Amino acid sequence: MELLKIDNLHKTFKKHKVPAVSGVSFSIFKGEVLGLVGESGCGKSTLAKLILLLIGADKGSIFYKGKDLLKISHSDMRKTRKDLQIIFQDPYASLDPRMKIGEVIEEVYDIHENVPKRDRKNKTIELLETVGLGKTYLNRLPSELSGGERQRVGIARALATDPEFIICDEPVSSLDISIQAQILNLLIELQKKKNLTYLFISHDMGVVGSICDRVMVMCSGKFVESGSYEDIFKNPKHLYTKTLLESI
Amino acid sequence: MLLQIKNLKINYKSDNSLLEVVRGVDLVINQGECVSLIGESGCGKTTIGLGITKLIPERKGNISSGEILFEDKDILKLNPEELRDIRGGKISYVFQEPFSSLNPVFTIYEQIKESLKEKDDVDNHIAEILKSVGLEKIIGRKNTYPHELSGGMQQRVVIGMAIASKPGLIILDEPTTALDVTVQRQILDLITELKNKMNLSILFISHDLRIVFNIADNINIMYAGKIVEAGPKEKIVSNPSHPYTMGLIDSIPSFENRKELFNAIEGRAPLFSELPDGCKFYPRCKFKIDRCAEKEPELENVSGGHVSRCIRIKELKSDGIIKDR
Amino acid sequence: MNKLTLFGLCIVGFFIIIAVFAPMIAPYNPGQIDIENILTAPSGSHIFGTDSLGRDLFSRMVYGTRISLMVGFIAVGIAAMIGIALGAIAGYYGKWIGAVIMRFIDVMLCFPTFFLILAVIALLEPSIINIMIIIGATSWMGIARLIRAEIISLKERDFIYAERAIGASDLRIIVRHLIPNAMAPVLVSITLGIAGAILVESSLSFLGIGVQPPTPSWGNILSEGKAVMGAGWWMMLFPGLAIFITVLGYNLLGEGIREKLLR
Repeated sequence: MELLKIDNLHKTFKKHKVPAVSGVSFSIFKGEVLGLVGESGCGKSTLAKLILLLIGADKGSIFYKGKDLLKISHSDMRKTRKDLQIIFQDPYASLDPRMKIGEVIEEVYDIHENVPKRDRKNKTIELLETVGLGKTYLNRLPSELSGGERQRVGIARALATDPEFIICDEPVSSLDISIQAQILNLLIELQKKKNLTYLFISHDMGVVGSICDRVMVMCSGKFVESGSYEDIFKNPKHLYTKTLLESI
Repeated sequence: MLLQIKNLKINYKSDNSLLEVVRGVDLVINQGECVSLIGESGCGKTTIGLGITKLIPERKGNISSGEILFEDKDILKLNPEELRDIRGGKISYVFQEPFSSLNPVFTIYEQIKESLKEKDDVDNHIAEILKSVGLEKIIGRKNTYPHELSGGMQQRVVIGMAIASKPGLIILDEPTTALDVTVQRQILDLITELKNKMNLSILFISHDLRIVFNIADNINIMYAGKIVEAGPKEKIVSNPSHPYTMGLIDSIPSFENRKELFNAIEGRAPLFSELPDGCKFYPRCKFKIDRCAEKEPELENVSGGHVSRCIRIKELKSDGIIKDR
Repeated sequence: MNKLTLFGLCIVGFFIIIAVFAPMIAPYNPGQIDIENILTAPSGSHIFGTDSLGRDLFSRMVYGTRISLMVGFIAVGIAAMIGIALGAIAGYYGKWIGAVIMRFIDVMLCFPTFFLILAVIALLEPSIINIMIIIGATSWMGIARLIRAEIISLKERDFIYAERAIGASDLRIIVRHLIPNAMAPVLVSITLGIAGAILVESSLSFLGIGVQPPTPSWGNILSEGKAVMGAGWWMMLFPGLAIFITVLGYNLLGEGIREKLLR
């Protein structure tokens, strides 16, 4: 089932002359892990923010289960946000430095009111345990946690609305390699357990290759190649793809 | 032997106490060798790199004991003038962020000129250096500033400045981490080329085994302030002999085990203020037994030139629990 | 903590305690007239002396602390509310609303504030409330600019995008996430602003258009002191010293906070 369909998306930032995202189109199917590879500056993070309507697109459509998100009402979008979530790259910038961990999760329940007040604390503890943390983290501040722990909190926050689709924007690029493996394991397990759909963004072909079903390669705002894992890794056609593979 | 570090111990000032961050490290770099120091953030590897030429500021920390013998003289006993001679001259550095290594208000030419030893025939010298780092296209462009170059080109300039003084030893600390993946490959190739052409000796500090795999002759794995495994590259990779090293290798994403879980190392590295007794890797180790927590192991020989700080490794291998890769 | 900052903090704390516990500290009723003891120099029974109506200067100074601090805090509180609100809106939304607010700030900054205050007070009656409001309404611009600048940079941080992604409303983001994280430089501004407000109030009272007698304020005591300069040096010395030390205290504290933030 086609979950998301992006059609001819364009975005140019006012301060730049060159478009950040230029005519991007693709589909994502339920239950798959779709990889998006490219180097810094190619537009992949911009694309992630565009899909979640965190920044406005200049042109194009974003169809989620048939509805164009760029055309629905504000209140409909608020409800749809529950289904589409994002995990950011920098565990040091993705949490409000002044919020305790428990509050980070409970805020989600507060906004969507999907959990009655008396159950919120327990649900929060449950969620923290799902990502490998626990009760002792409720009253801690982000500054007291390591990079890997903060990233787990970010994952818990993304899961708090019970989403169907999660954009993982370079979720392990800022982590030490041993922690990287832990977090990738967590993401793989969660995907299988909850039948999540991922758009997995990374500059590291190795990471993408180990977790993705299909891969799209992005360069200067456009897709240069896309295909199944076998197509891209065993039979790369575009020069840029080959260069990326050689860098591993 | 170009550089020999003996039992180096370095403290860092944290709040009101001194934490021992490098807890007795031995390292040897021979002429023409590339020795790598691998470890994750906070293990002390950058501290060692800075410590070699006493670059750690007084208010941050100090070298408490040990010897650093460079060309048979102990760097720790040199007077300031002799030390200045060595820094940048006989031992030069390339750090992670090229943009912070270059002064934004001086042109590239002016900065390379500063690092030259002989100040005559400057233009030709600079042209030679630019050529050797693959920057032919900026030869003659005397008014180029750092911000006009890409990250990769900036790093090439920094490498150029590092080799300009024809140093005996270059210390590279995560030189490619801040660069794009495709550029990383180019810079690594450049470093390899220069090493072979100029018979450079290199200390390559990194967190990623994959990066040093091609260029390093020897690999030293660091954990919690000490070296836990060391030896020639081939032996470390085909016969890793410490559970931490094995965990690091298992954490590398590979295409063979797609969508399978990694054999990840659980837990997190200990804080220097809370180091456990005995083996520091004990809390995270899959093969731990009670005896491991009693006393911190010494480095023991696994095979010629290959040492490990694990008391169980011989027994685990002979029992077949751990196999060669 | 830096010794100077600590000193500033002590001064600030000292005056706050005096203001809060005024009734317990003042030995006399500040309004109590005593014709027999007009303009007596400091002595055992009146440690700061008496004024031209025989009132105990020390008690008047103690109650004057209340006025000065109250005007200082409330005026700055008003300025902070206006400044934070306008600065946050300008910073978060930008575009034309941001431009309008910034031009408004520019216009406000063109006015010589003190004369604006004088003009307004001349038109209205010089009550304490009017003074607090007018000082507040003319000193919010610096705070607005600071908040706007902080918010412009903060709103690009990942955690703000994360808040939007989980569905937080603009109001929640601005009030619960942006403003609290943007307050640091504003704290400095507020601390220094209190000193400024106290100075303005003292100046207005000194000119006779601030706090009106018989309510004691350091400024109007100073004004009385000017009238009887030769005959009562204590009437200028003590309020003058009080103003000076208080302003010094807030400035040291404000600078100390700024130092801490720069690190």
